[in-house]
Amino acid sequence: MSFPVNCHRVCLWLSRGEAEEASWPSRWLAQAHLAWCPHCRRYRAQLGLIGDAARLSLARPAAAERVERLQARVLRRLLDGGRGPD
Amino acid sequence: MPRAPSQPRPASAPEDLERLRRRDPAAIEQVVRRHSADLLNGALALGLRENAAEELVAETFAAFLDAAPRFQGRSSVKTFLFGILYRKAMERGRRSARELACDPVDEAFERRFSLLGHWSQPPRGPEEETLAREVAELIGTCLQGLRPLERAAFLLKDVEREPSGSVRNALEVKDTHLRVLLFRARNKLRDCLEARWGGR
Repeated sequence: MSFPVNCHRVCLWLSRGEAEEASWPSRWLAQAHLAWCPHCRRYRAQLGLIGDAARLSLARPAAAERVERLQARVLRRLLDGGRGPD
Repeated sequence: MPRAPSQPRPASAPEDLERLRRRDPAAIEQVVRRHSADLLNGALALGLRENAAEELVAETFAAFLDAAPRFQGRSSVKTFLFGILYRKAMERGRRSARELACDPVDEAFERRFSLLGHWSQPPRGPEEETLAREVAELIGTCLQGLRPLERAAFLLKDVEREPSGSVRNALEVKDTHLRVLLFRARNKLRDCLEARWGGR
C-alpha cells in the first residue's frame, strides 16, 4: 500500500483499517490530508458513525428466558456427552 | 451491604483453559453462561432465524470443546468462540466461504474519484455522532447485503472492537484478505446508507 497522499488513497487507507498498524509517516500524511479535506473528514466520520450505529442496532439483548433455555440445552448436550433430543 | 463489583478474571486465564481441556463441568458451565447471550446475538446478526441461531450456538460450543486442546489463548475465549460461530455459519453453505475476486463495490468506490485521486462524487449524508441512533434503525437492512465473511469481519472489528490480529486468528484469514473484507463491508454499508440518506 502506498502512502495516503490524496483522497482516494486516504479513503482506501481508512476503510481497509490500515491506521492500526501503519507507520508514523503514513499516519502523519493521512492526518495532514484529513486536516484540510472536508470530504475525507466526512467519509471518516461516517465510517465511525456506521460502527456506532451497528453496535446500537445489535445491542438489543436476546430475551433472558430464551438465553436461559439455550444455556440449559447446550449444557445438557455438552455435559451429558450425547446429542440426544434437546 | 451491596457487594463491590469484582474485577472480572481474564477470559483466557491458563487455569481456566486447562480446566476446559479436561472438560471440567464447572468450567464448561462458566463459559456457556458467560458467552451464550453474545453468541446468540452474533448469530442473529448474521441473519439467521431464532431456531437456526440457537442451533448454531449449540454447535459452536461443542466445536469449542473439541478444539480446546489446540486453543493457545492467543485471543480471548470470546473471540475464539465468535470465530467458530462465523466459520460454522459459512460452512452451512448458504454461500461459499470463498469470496469473489472482484466485487461491484470495488468499482463503485473507484468511480467516486478522479484520475488524480480527488473526489469526483464526494460523500453525502450526515457525520454527526448523535445520529447513530437514527442510523441504527437503517443499518439492519444494509447488513443483510454483506457476504457472510464480510459481515463477520465487520462485526468483530467494528462492533466487538477486536484488534486486527485477533480477527485474523478468529476468521483464519491473512492480513490482506482482512483489509479487503473490511474495505468492502464498510463501503457497502456506507453506500447503502447513503442511498437512504438521499440528498442530505
